[in-house]
Amino acid sequence: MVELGALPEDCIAHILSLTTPLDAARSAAVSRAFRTASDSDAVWRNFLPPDLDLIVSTSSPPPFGPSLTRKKDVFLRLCSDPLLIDSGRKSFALEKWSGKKCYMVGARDLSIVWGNTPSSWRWSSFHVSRFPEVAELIRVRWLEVHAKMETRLLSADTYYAAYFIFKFVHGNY
Amino acid sequence: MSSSPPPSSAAASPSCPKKMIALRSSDGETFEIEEAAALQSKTLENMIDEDCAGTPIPLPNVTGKILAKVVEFCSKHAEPGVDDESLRAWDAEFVNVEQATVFDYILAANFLEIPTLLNLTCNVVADMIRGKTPDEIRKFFNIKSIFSPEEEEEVRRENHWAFE
Repeated sequence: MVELGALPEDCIAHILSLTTPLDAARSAAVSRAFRTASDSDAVWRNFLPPDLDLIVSTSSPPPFGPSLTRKKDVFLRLCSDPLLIDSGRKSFALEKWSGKKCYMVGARDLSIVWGNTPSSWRWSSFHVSRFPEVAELIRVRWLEVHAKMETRLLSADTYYAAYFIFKFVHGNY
Repeated sequence: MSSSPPPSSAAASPSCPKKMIALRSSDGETFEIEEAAALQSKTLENMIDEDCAGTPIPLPNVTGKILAKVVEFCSKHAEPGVDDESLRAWDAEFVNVEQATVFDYILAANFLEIPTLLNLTCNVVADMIRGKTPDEIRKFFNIKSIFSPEEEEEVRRENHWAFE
């Protein structure tokens, strides 16, 4: 009678690739066979977005050095270190539990009404931001900011939430 | 009446009689399967291309009990005119079996390279694994771990984010 533990590693890997990144990583602690299967490229290739090469091609310098040969390491890197893409206008990362794509749209990629009026908005670099430029609100009577995202860039079959990220400068209001 | 083409690549021309392929299980039982159904197995597809004599193809890795079910699966999936919803329901019934049988199906699907069956059966096991801790997985599947305490510690450290 066959037991799960006796299945060949590529079968275990196939099974794990149908779970989630969290389940796959956790199951490494089940047994040696599970550990090898769970670390294999067959599993993590499935969790990486199929269009990853295309996305990464717009990032410079190339983000993955020769040390990142395992797909698992590529996955984990993308979860912890957002990648600047699209000429530094957006950042891209993966959500660790699910492998879904996350994006952040930089200020330069937003449509800010009166954004080019120096008395209303000032553009500068800010060391805390991952983007080369941030927009600082000086004074407006009309605050309107638009962001646009092509849905084809997103992960399929996924609910997304959009967040507006801003920082108050101490004492300025 | 329109029929949907079978998922496998070849379609027999309507004027030719359906070619039957003979298979022999590890315990000596023989089964006949239509060529269109057999072509769902990449392993069989390769063997059919090579074989001309028509002698039963020996499958030493698959018992008669399991081969019968595999033939049933492939035949169903080669049937024209089955809508997706019915097929899904049929598939769900097909894998509604005890754990050990699912593993036998996985081994057979892996050996015979039948992607549809492999995905179906692996998904059943994936559903059982999702959300469980390593201990729960071991208990559920009766897996004995031979990790030393140091090894287990190392694995948990390497994957610490999954254990937080």
